[in-house]
Amino acid sequence: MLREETKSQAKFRAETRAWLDANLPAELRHAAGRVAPPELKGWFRKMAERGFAAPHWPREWGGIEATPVEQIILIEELARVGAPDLPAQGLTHISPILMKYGTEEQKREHLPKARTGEVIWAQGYSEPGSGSDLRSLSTKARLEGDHLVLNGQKIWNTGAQYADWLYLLVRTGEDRRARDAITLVLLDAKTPGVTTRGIRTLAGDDELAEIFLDDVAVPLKNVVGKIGEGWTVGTALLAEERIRSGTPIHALRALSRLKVAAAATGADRDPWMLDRLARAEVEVMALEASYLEALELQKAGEAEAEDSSRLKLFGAEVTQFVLEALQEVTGAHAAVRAPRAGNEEAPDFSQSFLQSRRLSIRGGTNEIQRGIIAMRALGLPRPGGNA
Amino acid sequence: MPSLRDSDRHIVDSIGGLLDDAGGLKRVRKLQGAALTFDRALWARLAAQGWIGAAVPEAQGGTGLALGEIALLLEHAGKRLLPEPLVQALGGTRLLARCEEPAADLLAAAIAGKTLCVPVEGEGGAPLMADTALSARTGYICDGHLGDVFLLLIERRGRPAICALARNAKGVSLESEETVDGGSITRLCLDEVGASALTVLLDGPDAAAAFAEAQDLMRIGYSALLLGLMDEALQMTVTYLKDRRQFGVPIGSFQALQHRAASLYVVIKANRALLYEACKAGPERRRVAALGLKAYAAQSAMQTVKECVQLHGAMGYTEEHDMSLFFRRAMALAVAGGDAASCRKLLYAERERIRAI
Repeated sequence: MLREETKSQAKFRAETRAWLDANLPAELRHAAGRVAPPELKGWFRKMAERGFAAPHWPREWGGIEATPVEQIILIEELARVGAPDLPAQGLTHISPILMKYGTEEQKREHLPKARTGEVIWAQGYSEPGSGSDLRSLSTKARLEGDHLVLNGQKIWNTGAQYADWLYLLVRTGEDRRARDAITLVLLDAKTPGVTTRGIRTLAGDDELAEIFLDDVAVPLKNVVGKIGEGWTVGTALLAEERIRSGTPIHALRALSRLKVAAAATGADRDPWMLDRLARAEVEVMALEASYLEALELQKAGEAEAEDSSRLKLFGAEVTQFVLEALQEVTGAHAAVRAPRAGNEEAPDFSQSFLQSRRLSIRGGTNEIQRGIIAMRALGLPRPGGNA
Repeated sequence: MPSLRDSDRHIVDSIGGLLDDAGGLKRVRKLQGAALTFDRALWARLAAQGWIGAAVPEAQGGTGLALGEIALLLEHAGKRLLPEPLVQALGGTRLLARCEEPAADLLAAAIAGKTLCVPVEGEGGAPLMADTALSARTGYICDGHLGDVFLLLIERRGRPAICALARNAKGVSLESEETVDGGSITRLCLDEVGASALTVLLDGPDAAAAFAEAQDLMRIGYSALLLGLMDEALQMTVTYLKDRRQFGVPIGSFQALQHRAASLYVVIKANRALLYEACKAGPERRRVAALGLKAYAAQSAMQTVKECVQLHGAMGYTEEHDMSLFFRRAMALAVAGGDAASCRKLLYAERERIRAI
């Protein structure tokens, strides 16, 4: 952060740093591979107890109502110590939806457990035939008494095989494109008829999954908002909330690895590499400033819907840019699956690089975000006359 | 974008009104076409509105704007391609204000628009060694040919000082090369300039700090001009994409073009966020913030004007189209206060101070 810290902000940073140093287990620091959600449960709970799992949440639901600057400080300190990401869907997606649209019962049942990580959530939006064109989704929900009965398949569901609960967009009407025929439901993953299966990724982990739904009964009390309101509740109005997908934490963590690697390999004494390192610094400065500005605008109620598209794609590209610099700094060892123990000149690179390709794809590809910006922010006409 | 406060709105309207009233881009076109000319009437109007003393506290005769307000002023001047050396003058008046009493007369003349005082650094950014008579070449100054008095950071027996040097002093010659926008890059060639020609305005460690602050202000200022320039260039381009039709549809409906325009939008928004964040930097990080910002703005502005020319097709490649004015001005401002690569080089040297991680 470039701006001058106030005394209380400096105190928040010092306390945060001390707490992270004392509490983050060594095996979770700067882990190159992805840590599976079950191994994160203990850390998740600790973070929640300290108020750091969802620092921006209102106090009513166990948050600490951290200011935008405090949130940035926390992000910087988490990146410095190389803390792993907590599963985000429960904290930054379904919970804010429930706070805004959920019933009192839904809030009381789900928010406390989502905050502590006692319940892990996964999202079920995309389908084999509905990726970028999400509105064409076809998972059927049939009304039977006080239940919806689901049939269909979801795919690209991060961590669904580890999730306790799922939130899904399903079709509650016949019209294949109608927005008002889509409904958001909460589903206990142990409900009969639910099958999840991991998908091996480019990075060799099973971060992604698919969900098969075979006559799955969901009580109507698990519908969020009204039947037919799912598109609005699940996507459009929460574009603003999704600003958090532009978090600079990935870029900051990559930058911190880049600095360590540059010192270890001697790249920080190589004039040609120095310019790459400085460019990475500058890009991350711009991203951090953008994110802080967006959090402040959001707090003031002045954020625009396209801000989340902009930050999401910018955050992905800056992170990927920093990792490309790290690839060059790493030299021949960039191709190594995992470096030999004790070889300090060989930064652990390939895992984080392979994983970073997801950043520009998930949550709507960067191309989809550019399309949204072109139309909403720049007012350019819809391409090709597609409805 | 955050909504403007009333005082901000006043700044935006005043500078915009002044420059539009003076002829807008028509005036800019004339100045770009005629090498090394100076619109003294416009300069007098800038002085009359108090903009030249914008960075000087009111108690010293200035307008006393905060850094964020100066950035806003320059952003909106940049939208209209302000050709005048306002950023240099702001750096000069700010530096004179830091020198206090010994510089009071010079400061008053500078704020009134009568004497243009420009900070000048040594070659490669180092102070000028003046143990005996001063013989050196300085670094390049954007539009330095317009300077009446140059403010130098010298070092005499290990002690820094700010000195004023008149352009017509003995031993001073200007080496100017005309730039593509009708301005110049200029450096001073100093040949045995004697102590009597150098008026010491501030002596001791404060001198180096004051000079660094003026440099930071100028880098932030050039970046603000570039932000306005790129923002306006994109807006003109988006209008063109909506109006121009081919294959029976507006060319702005083609994704190949939409995505390029969207990429510029993202970069320009990031420049705005970084500019106003840099304005909030404390003394410790201000230098790093200004260097990083200038590197980013220079790189982004060149990316923007290149793309905007391309998106205009053949029309964008003509002299007649106003985009030519934006393109050439961007080239000149990109190197003012240090080009992107040299700012990054300086930035990396300061890396310990960049971030806590």
